[in-house]
Formats: sequence, structure tokens, C-alpha cells
Amino acid sequence: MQLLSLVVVCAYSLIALGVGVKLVLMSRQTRRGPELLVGLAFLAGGMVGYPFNIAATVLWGSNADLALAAYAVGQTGMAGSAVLALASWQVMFAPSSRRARVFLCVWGVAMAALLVVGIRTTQPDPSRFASSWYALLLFWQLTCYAVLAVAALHHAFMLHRREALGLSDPVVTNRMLFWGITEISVSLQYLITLCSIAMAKLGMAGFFSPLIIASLGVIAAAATYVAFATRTAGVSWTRTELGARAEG
Amino acid sequence: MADSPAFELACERIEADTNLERIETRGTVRLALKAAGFNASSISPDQLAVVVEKLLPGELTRRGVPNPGSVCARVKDALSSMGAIAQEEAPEALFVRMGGG
Repeated sequence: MQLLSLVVVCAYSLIALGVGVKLVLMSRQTRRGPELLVGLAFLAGGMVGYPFNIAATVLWGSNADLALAAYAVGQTGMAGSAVLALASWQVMFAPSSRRARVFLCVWGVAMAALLVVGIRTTQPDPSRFASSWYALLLFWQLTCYAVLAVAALHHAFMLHRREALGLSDPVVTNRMLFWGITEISVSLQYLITLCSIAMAKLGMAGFFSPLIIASLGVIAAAATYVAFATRTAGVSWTRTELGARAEG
Repeated sequence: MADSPAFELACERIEADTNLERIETRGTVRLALKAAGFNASSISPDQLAVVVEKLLPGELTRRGVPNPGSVCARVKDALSSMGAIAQEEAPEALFVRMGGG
């Protein structure tokens, strides 16, 4: 199971690297904020967050100082990815909303504070799951991905309606839909982990399953790939194959 | 969030051309926008013109407005005279750019 989880994380990191670099390079040409923020969010999470956290766990038994340093970098990468992702939500979905800007600022400051406390009070071993600070840190990141998931899926639904009037391209609708699926997969990973922590604290049998977490990771990786790295964003499959199944 | 100038103009025209009250007019247009996948705050004149042409006649008919086709034609004319309006980038713009659009 550990091997499967490692393979999933490696796959996600590679896809995040490819998509992140693609979007950052694109932002240099377009001079637009959304591609830069989404690209950096993928790079921070996929290339800093996940790899350094895994490195910290592996190093913990042999070199504690190095492990703690890697843990700090990894957690900063995960938190940074969440901040960049939420900033992309504000820029894309609520660019002129003062309330959204205030929410982003307050959320970002709280994220930074939780990150500092979380790094100082926890270690890269299973004991961190018993820490309330670590749970709060995870919960805070969950809110970011949940906001993005709701926004992306709601907008994909609206774009789908526009298609009937010829006012939206199905490829664009699908890209938004698969981005939403990525965010909801990540949200569910956080939610399952948090529920397990809460159940463990209450003395109940947890339902944390590495297989479920890994499966959600596979879905997130695949959806990211389809949304950002394919030409048709799966339109031919979702519209013809699923349509035929629905009719048949 | 404030409603778009296109939405405001369309509502003013419908209110002037029909016996619908202001709140009824705005609700009717909002229902058409919802069915089309838009919201009143961000729709452009071009997009609203399509919604007015394809969905609004049905909504006006349901409210007993006589000659909904001609009402919608006048609203469309008014929208076409608005010209281009500087608007915020739509959320899907990134994904449009990714396709080279």
C-alpha cells in the first residue's frame, strides 16, 4: 500500500510539474494572473509540498534535523499551494469583490500563523495526527480546496447550460469540470483524514484508508492531466461515450 | 455585486414596452439568465442579446405579455447599440486561452 501511495504521489508530482511549468510559461506570454497563480499552486504543492513531506517521513528515523527541515519546507509548500490556489479563486471568480479580497487576506494570515505553530509543535511522524494544531492546519487547507471545488463545479454547470445557446465551447466546459473534480478529490482527501483524526480523538475506530486516499490521488492526478494537458479535455469521451450509455 | 449595464438596459426596455412591474421584469430576465447559465452581474451585451433572442420570448409569453417577439427585438436593438463595454475577465478565460482561443 505504501508503494501504491508513493506511485500516486510521484504521478501527481510529475503531472503537477508539467502543468505548473506550462501555466507559468503561458503567463509570461499572456501577462495574466490566473495562469501564474494556478501554475505556481501546482508547483508549490506537487514539487515542494508532497516530495519534501515524504522525504521528511523517510529521513525521520535516520537524521532528525534534516527530517525536520524537510518537514518545514514540505508543510510550507502545501500551505503555499493552498494560498496560491485561493488567490487564483479570488482573481478568477471574484476579481472585484471586496469581501473576497478581505476573506483571502484574513485566510492567508491565519494560514501563515497555523503553519508556524504547526511546524513548531509537530513532527514528521504519525504522532502529528494527534495534534489539534495539525488538524486545524489541515482543516484550513480543506476550506481553500472546498471553495475552489464549489466555484469550479458551479461554473462548469453554468457553462454547460450556455452550450445549448452556442455561448460556450464544450472543451472549455470540460476543462472547468475536470479542474473542479481535481479540487473535490483533494478536498475529500483532507476531509477523510480530518474525520479519522476526529474519530481517533473520540476513541472511535477510524476509517482512514490509504487505498481511498490513493484512489482520490489518482482521480486528482488524472483530472488535472485532462483539464490542463490535453487538447480536447476529454470532450469526445464524455460527450459521445457517456451520452451513448445514458441513451442506451 | 452590482448588475451589469446590459442587464439594466434590457430591464428598462422591457419595463417601458410591457405592463410588467420593475420587480417582475427583473425577475423574468433573471430566470432567463439562470436557464442560460449566466448571472446578471457579469453578462455582456452580446451574450444577453442571444439570451433575449432565444429564451426571453418564452418567459414573457408565460407572463402573458403580448407580442413578446417584437419586445425582444427592441431589447436586442437597444443592446446592440450599447457597443463594447470593458468587463472583468470571465472565470473560464484561462481555459479559453489554454485552447489558443
